Amino acid sequence: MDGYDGGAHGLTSLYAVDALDPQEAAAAEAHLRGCADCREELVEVREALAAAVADEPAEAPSAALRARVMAALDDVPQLPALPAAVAPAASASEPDDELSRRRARRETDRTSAARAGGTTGRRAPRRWVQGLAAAAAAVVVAGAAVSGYAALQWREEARSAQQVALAVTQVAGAPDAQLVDAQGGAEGWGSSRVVVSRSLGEAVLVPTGVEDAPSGRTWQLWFVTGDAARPAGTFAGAGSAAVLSGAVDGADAVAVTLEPAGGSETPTSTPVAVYPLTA
Amino acid sequence: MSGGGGTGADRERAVDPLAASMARVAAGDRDAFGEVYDAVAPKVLAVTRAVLRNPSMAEEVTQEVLLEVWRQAARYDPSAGSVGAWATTIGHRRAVDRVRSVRAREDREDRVVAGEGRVEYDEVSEQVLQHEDESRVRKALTGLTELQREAVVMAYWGGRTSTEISAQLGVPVPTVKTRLRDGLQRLRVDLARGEPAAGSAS
Repeated sequence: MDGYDGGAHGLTSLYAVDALDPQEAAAAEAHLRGCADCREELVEVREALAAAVADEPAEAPSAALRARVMAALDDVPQLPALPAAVAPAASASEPDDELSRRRARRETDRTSAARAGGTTGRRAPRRWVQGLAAAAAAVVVAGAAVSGYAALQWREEARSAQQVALAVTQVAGAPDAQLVDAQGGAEGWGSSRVVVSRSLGEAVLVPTGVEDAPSGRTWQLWFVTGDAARPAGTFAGAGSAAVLSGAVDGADAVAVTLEPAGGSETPTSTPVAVYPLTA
Repeated sequence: MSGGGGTGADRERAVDPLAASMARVAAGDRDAFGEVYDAVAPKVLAVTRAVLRNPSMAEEVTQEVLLEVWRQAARYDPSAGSVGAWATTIGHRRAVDRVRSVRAREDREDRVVAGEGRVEYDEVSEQVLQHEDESRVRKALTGLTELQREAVVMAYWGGRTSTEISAQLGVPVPTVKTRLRDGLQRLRVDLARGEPAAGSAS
């Protein structure tokens, strides 16, 4: 279409240098999942680039940096190996794709039990609540790590993971907790839900089946009141349950849009999911 | 895809001595992690410094990347490339994401406060090569034409998208993509032949 030969095949080497716009990068990733030749090309181009990067840069890494990294190992739990069957094909650039799959499996098990109850507005079953909290504790640390936080914040992250887990338990366990299914649900958001407690004024996103946002973009949550949308936090990766920022107040709905990395002041795209809240 | 190699290429690829260290790292071996760190940290720092052009940010991202190597050690797949390329890839992606999110934020703020305190990211090509080990990069890219080299340096070492490169050079996006793609294919073929880029130390 632009006279540039190759279609999705032709995107591979540009993807290897991270030179694609977000939409193109998403197309390249989709193509790579199904094209062994392009995966091979990607590996080779990356090897060639890494080889071209100086082994001995003008300024070597400082001893202090090494010491900080070694000291931080205590705070960084190692992930278990993946079962061979789900080993990612295009790996390096999506190091955490498998996390979302593991999560998705866990969540599917859990929510299929929860789904028995019917539609919007029911109480969250206790088993589901407990499982949800455990999942939040296990995965939030990992999710935070890949979304670009400074590694020095690891200790802080671990603490906040516990806080998220606690908050999720509180919201989902509140007497007036409502479990709201996504309406719309484009781009893999169809199975996601929001748990909201009006009495606590808090809402939690349960991103079942949701994939990482494309490179350079982020999922962003919104409290919608009438036709005004209030930012409720960004959600870069497929990670775990997240507590929305800000109070529910009189919001009519929660919505999710895809925004440029860093988030937006107001939504700039059509929501991929909307969760209507009852009064 | 480069002539004869085809799908057998990754079985023929030289064994990466760090792959064995990674297996030990996966078991929580800190000495092995130290070996991996010493081997890959210079490259990760070089690439993040080139993209970010801010030494303290580059160190911060390098630290994140190395901790990610530790965290994901059990998931490292040797058939998907060397440890060095794996770490360098993660470092490049993170540096680029950070630069782009800073630019996006600045662009938004610029609409409100015109140009105040704006970080200048716009003098890429030649300066990148000064931050980076200049002669080393030039040597690795000698097989490329001047235009290909310029595009590859701006994309990889400068962390720019093809759209941004197009705007900066004033040439159409498809032309930039063609230069990039041809340049990267050339680099790949040179490496496979053991030409300039493959002669890396250590």
